[in-house]
Order: sequence, then C-alpha cells, then structure tokens
Amino acid sequence: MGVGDADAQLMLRYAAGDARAFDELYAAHRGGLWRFIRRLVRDASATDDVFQECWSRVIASRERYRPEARFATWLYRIAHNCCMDHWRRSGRRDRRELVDDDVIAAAADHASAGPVEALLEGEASERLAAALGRLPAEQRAAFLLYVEGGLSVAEIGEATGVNPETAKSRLRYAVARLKQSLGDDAPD
Amino acid sequence: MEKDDDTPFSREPWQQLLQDRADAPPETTDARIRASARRALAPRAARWWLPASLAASFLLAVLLVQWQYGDGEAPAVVTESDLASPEAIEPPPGIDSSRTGSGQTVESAPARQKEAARYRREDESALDEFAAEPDAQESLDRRTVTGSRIGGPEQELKAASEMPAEEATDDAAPPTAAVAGSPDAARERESQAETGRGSSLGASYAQTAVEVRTPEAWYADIEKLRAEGRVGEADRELERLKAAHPKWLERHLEELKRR
Repeated sequence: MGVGDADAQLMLRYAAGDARAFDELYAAHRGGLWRFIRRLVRDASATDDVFQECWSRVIASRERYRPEARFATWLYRIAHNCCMDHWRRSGRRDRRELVDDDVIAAAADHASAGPVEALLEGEASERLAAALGRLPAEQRAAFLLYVEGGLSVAEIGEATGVNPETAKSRLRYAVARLKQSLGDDAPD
Repeated sequence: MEKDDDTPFSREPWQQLLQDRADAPPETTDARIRASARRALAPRAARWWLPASLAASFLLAVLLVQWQYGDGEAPAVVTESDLASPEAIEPPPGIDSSRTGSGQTVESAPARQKEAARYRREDESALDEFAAEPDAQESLDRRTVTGSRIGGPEQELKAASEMPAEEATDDAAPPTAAVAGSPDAARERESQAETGRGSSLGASYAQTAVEVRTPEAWYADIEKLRAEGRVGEADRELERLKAAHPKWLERHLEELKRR
C-alpha cells in the first residue's frame, strides 16, 4: 500500500539524501498538519512547538522509515503522539476526553442550549471551530484525522492506536455533535 | 451519512468550512524546519568519513610496523646462553674479508659457524691466560656486569654488528693480544668503559686480550724484539706503548733508575 504512495517515495528519496524531496513533502502536508495540531491542541502558542516537534521526529526517523503504510498515516500518527506528549508534559488535558464514549453520545443527544446559542452568533466556520473545541480530544482527533489528514477509518485507528471499530465510533459521535452544533449550516 | 466503512461521510464540505480560516504555519517555522531537514542530511558525509579515516590510519600504522620489521617476524629474543653457543656468535663485521662494504654477510651459515667456533676457541684460550691476572679478571668482571646491566645481550649483538670498518681493515685476522693492544683499541676500550656501553662482542675480544697484556709484558716484548735485532719493530711498539699508557713508561724508567 505504502510503496506505491507518492509521499512515501518522496520520504524514501529524502532518507537517501534528497533535500528537495523533503521540500515537496513538507509543502504537501504543512497546511493540513498545522490545522490538525492547532485544532487538536487548541493552544496557539503550543501549536508551533508541537508542529516543529512533529517534523523533527519525521526528520530524525527518516532512516528507519519503511513504507508499510501510507505516508500520511505515519505522519499523523507522529503528530498525534506529539500532541499526547504535549498534554502529558503540560499536565493539562481536556476533562471531557476522559469521559466514556457512551456518556458523550448521550450528551450529544441531549445537548444543552448554551453552545447552540454561541454557535448562532458566528460564521459557520467559526462555529465549527468552536464546536470542535468542545469535543473530547479522541473524537476531535478522529474527526480531524479524517477531514484534515484524509485518513480512512482504519488508518485513524492505526494512527491513534485503537481498533477500527473504536475509531469509527469516535468519528460518528464527533460528526453527530458537530452537526447538531452547526444546525442548518452543517454539511450533508 | 455513511458511504462505506472506510469513508463514512464526505470530507470536502467539512474541509471547506475548516479551511476558511486559512490557518498555516508561520514562514519562520517553515524556514526552520526546512533548514533542519537539510542539516540532518549534511552530517551523513561526516559520519561516513570518520570510520573510514580511522580504518585508513590503522591500516597505515600496521603497514609501517610491517615495513619496519621487514618480513613482519618479531625479532628473536637472544639470551646470554645463546650468546655462548657458536651459532649465536656473530663475528664482528670487517674481520672477515668476505663481508661486503655495507656490512651484509655473504658467507654461508656453516662457514659462519666454523668461524664462530674458531673465535670461541681463541676467546677461551685468551680467557685462560687472562685468568692468571687477578686485577685484569676483576676489571673484566666489572665491565661485564656493567655491560649486561646497561645493554643486555641484544645490545651486545647490535654493537658487534655496528663495529667500525676501520678496525676491521686494521685487524683482518681475529684479534690477538698484540693487535688488540694497539693504541686505537685501547682508546676505544677506555671510551667504552667510560660511557658504560662498551660491551660489544667484537670489543670483548680486544678487551680480553688487552687485559692479558699488561704494560710490563708489553715492555718486555719490546725489549725482546730489540734483543732480537728487530729495532724498527721495537720502536713502533714502544710508540704504541707510550700512546696506550702515556705515563707508565716514565714511571717505569724512574723505577728502574731507583733500583
């Protein structure tokens, strides 16, 4: 799978000493990875650090890289691990990420009026960003990996270290809550 | 909402909503990461050269050592007992006319052994004579001890091989009491005794013979030559005696007068 991946080939070329291959790789993923980290970490000052840490790990692991999976899966797994490390270092984690998925699902079914009122005040994108911030970290990571990273459900499970069923469940709950928050502006 | 297991819903509308914010890393971050990626590639060459240069240095050192020791064999350890055996005794260079100017031996091994055996016999006879002289025996013992302590057998062999060629031309035959008693040999012996390194095998032949021939004996020989009518030879020997023992002759003559 990964061998035919164009990004994987670029990474192999970079590992072999081609600096321009890295430039291409970086240009292709910098935007998506930045948004993924910024929305997952939700801390403007920490985003830059985590982003740089992520690319540093990519650079450092270039010789160990094997195209066993898609490059994006490998890259976002590193990014996800960097975010987890950041939370561990800062000792600050979103309280809601510790909540069981079923509880979250129930909460999504019976959302309070507070967030809805806040969503109505901004543009759809801002409301989406705000709603994303209120999601538990696991669901937020699953949603961002799917939308920004372009990962499949199985790849999300691989990147976050869970089985595909759990990844799919998290993604479903995340979308359900975001749709509820966006109301009529939510995509179909 | 769900299309299939791997893509449960369409990404594009959500991406449009999210990308409206046009989030992107700052240019400084971009530059820093690209520079870091280039820096990571640069040390590859250095890491390759370090072990290569170390290996080359080691190889060069090994080659130098091999070149220094010729065929690479370690020099054999020579003991004192080896020195006593005829096989180990190497005649001083120049004594044998079959040696080349550069000091390399061209004769065969049996010839060398034969020659060494002859030297040994002569040496033993000289030592027998020498044993009769208590002072000389003591002197030789002292010298031998000094030589062993400072140089050792290996040094003796080395010194023997480095014996000056002029001695060899003067003394084409193995050293005898008369020849070894010459002023040159005496000076050589004295200087070696002073420096404490005069224990070469070749020099030991001369030293043994010189110790046997005391000034008294030498003077008696001169008188003998004179009595035989070999005046010219006697005069030359007298000059040598004077040179070898500068004040002895004067003292001896004064003693004769006093008597």
